[in-house]
Order: sequence, then structure tokens, then C-alpha cells
Amino acid sequence: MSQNPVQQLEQLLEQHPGVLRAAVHKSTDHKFVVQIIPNQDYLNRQLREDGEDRKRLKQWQTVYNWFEKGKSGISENTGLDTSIWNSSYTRKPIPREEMLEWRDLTVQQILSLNPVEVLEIGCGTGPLLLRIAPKTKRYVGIDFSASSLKSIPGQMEGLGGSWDMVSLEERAADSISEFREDSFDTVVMNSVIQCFPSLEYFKRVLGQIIRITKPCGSVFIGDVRNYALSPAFALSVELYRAAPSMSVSELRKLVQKRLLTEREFVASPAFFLALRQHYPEIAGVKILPKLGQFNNELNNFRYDVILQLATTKNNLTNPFWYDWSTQESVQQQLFDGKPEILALSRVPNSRVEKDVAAFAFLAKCPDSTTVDEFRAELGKYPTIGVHPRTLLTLGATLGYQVSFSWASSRPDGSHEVIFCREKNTDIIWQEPDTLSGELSRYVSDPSGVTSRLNLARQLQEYIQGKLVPNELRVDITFVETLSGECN
Amino acid sequence: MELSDRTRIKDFIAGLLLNRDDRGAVEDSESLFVSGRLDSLSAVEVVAFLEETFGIDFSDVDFEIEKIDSIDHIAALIANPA
Repeated sequence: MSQNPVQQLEQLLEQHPGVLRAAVHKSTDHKFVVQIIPNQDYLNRQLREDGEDRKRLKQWQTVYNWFEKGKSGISENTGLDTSIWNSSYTRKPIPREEMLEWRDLTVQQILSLNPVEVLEIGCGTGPLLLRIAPKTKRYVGIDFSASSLKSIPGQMEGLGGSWDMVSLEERAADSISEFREDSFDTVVMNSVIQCFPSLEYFKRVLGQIIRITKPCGSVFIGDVRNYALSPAFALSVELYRAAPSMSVSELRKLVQKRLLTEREFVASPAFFLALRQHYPEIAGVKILPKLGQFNNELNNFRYDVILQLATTKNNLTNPFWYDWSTQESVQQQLFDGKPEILALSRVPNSRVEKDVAAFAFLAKCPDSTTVDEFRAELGKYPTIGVHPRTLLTLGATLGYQVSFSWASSRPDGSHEVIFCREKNTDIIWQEPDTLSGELSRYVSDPSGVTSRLNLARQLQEYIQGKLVPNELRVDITFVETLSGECN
Repeated sequence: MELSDRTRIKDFIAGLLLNRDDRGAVEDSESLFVSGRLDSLSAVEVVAFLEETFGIDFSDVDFEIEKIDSIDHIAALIANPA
């Protein structure tokens, strides 16, 4: 019984222990296109054997050290190395003034926790430390990059004053168990967890943090990329870069690829709410959208989290939630009714509404549409969203404190907003209707991506020289079901 | 042997550049990181690739990024890891 090369290749691939099922077809230009359902047990086993988490961290560490050594873009003792923060859209450094806004708003958030004894995990070259430490009694900064830490003493000297409260240590996030129990009232981890290799690693770190934080303390996890908005973000970046003549089907592929090869740890706000089911020490969770004015990916797609290990003494206010209608009607309600508190749900978010709409539109757009036409169509979409800054200004004009939450974790990126006469009112914010205890639903899986990419590389080498001519690249994708087959 | 390793490296680098929409030609001697053509995220990928494919050990702290800054440098590193 003779077989054609396609069937032979399928058989060969299915003999590999990493492959459960394989489907091969030839593309129009006679290349092999391979779909693989991977053997999950094999992937998991490889992860364990390779100590993949550790390896990934070491790789980050190596590279951080390189990039901090020699060339340093730190300016005027700000602790901000603006040369290393690139925009996903332009791949150019994010402008300095935008990074300064990002830093200042983060510093403000952390200072609002009244920190006294602080541990900062991943303090880097010190953007937060240099601002916050002088207002505390004790500030321990740790980082896995020795080169980053080295830049801090010189900056402290440049700024002058006493820095006796500061100590610096080269350490990874998961090696803080040596600190005594209840050592700190505030633990800060800003723009750090995206380098974490896996959910397991995050849990290991959080467990240690909770142990060394005082029972009344808070954990600040800043600059988290919002997983609920990952599709909208992926499209927004790819659309920005796409040539006008590109077809929508090509664009779709790029977006899919970006989502499937996510190598950073990205988390939905719901993740932090669901953590309470696993860590009973967590009493309160605040999900704070960024409130900066600049239109950049930090403000639009990231948020800060405060985990409170003890409930506040104040009574929690459980307001009546009105659905958002229009800005005019809210203005009217505040101006005429002068309520003590006005709680608004599902406030459309002008910063991401276009991107969210674009993603929905992408799915139903005919394949032959060009990016140019796609953009033109999108331009016609009505926008109803409101910018958080607009509401902040409105509140300030009418004598209200305005606070925001992203805890509802909606994929449209809408906010909950409270206008309140009194300062520091603690609110019971809206949350998703159901929260799963299965944390992996709410986060990306960097080590899973790594293991699939490794398997793809293994398979390339496995088939090369056997049925596939040397140096010919085969297009391998991983799928859950093979195309042409029903579930 | 030398040629084949170099091809794999070139292939890998081309893939990284393509991910950044960089379809331009790349000379074997051309700077990749110091020039800013590739960023730190790509550097992590290169480190992972060299560790996994060629067993290069990056744990030596004195390792400089210059050692992987071009295809020539990477090929030399693989040929003589010490």
C-alpha cells in the first residue's frame, strides 16, 4: 500500500512522543503546513524536567543585566531608565514625560497606603524607591539584576539627604522567605509580574509575601497588563503596524499569533478577586485603572492592584448602582440632586472602546477586505466612551471625590465610577457575577507557550532530513482540534 | 557543520526580525542589539535559543551582550563557547 508524502509525514509526526495527532496539507506554494495537537503530558513533563520556570527567570536576569550595564538612560536621578521602555506600537522608547507621569501616579498610589516599612520586589534602577523611601522608616529594595541595583547609590548621593532607611539586595522575587514573619506593612511589586514565568511561580511568591507582611498590611501589585483586554490590545498593535494593502485574513493571523505566543504573564482583574478563595488572608482587593492623561498602552491597558490583608476599620459602603447613560445626565444628577454618593456601573471607556469594537468587527469582516478598508469602516463606528480624566475634572468642579474600579473585569474595558462627597469612603465595588476558583482561566501561560515553541523546534529537526528536504521550514501550528474534523 | 549552525542562527534571527516587521536584509557582521534593531525581549529569545539548541551557558556574570550582538559573534560563540 503506497502512501503519499503528506500521509507519510503525518505518520512520522504522530510517532513523536510530543504529538497526539497531526494533520498535514500542502499550501498553494507547495510548502507543508502542519497542524499538531500536542501531547499535554509530554509538555508538562518537559517543563518539570527542564526547570523551565527557573530557566526563564535566569534568561530575563541575564538580559536585564546586559541592558543595564554599559548603556544607561537614567536621567537626573529619576531612577527611570527611559531607554528600556519601548512602545509596543512604535517600538521606540515611550516619551520621557509619559514615563514620568506613569511613575508619579504610581508613587501617589503607594503613598496613599501610608507605608512605613516597605519591601519593594523588583526595584530596578529605583524610580519608585527614590521617591518613596524618604517618607518611610525602612525600605528594602530587591532586584534580580545586580546591574540595576548598582545605579541606585549614586543617584541617592546625587539627590542628597539621608538614605539610612534604604537597603538593597540582589534577590529574585521567590527568595524572600528569609525575611522574618510580619516584617513589612507594605510590599510593592510594580511592573514586575509580567516577567513571571508561570502561575505557579506567582503563587509561590505571593505565599511568601503574605507571610512576611503584617496582618494589617497591603500588597501593591502595579502595572499589570489586563488579560481581559488582550485580544483588543493585540489587534490594536497589529492594526497600527499593518500596511494599508494587507488583507484582513492576514491581519487576523498576526493577531492570533500574537495572542498564542504571549510570553509575558498577563492577568485579568478577576484573577486577583479569585485569589481570595485560595488565600484567606486577603480581605480586600482594589482594582485601579490608570488615571494618566497620555494615550499610551500603560494608561489604556494596564492597572494597579491593592491586596489588603485586613479589612479597613471604616464601614464599607454598598451603594445603589446606576447604569451609565450619558455624561449630560450624570452632570445633571450631580448638579440638581447633589447626592452624597453616586455610583455608576458600565461606564464606557473611551480609551479602549475602538479597539474592543475593532476586535468584534474583525471576526465578521470578509477575508478579502484590506486593512485600509477595515480602518475606514472602523472610523464610522459611533463612540460613546468617556475618558476617566473627564470624570475626574467633572467631580473636581462639583466638589466630588471620584474613584474608579475595573473589578468587574468586563471584556469591553468599561469602568465602575463613584462620585462621593466624603473623602476615603470605602466602597463595595461590583465584581463579575461568577468567579471561578480555577485561577488559570484568568491568566496567560508563558511557560506553556515556551514549551510549545520548544516542541515546534524539536519537530522541525525531527522531520528534517527524513521526509522534508534540509533547510526547508515547515509551518507548524498547535491546535485543539484539527481543521476539517468536527469536535 | 559550521555552515549549518550559521544557517540555523540566521533563520532564528530572521524570525525575530520578522516578528518586528523588519524584513530588511541582515549582514552577518551587523549589530543587532547595540544598534537597537532588536530589543531586550528578543535578547531573551536569543539566550533561550542558544541555551536550548547549543547548550551555551550564560550564567557567567561577566558575559557581555556584545558576544551575541551579530550573527558572526553568535557563530563564534557557538564554535568556541569558553
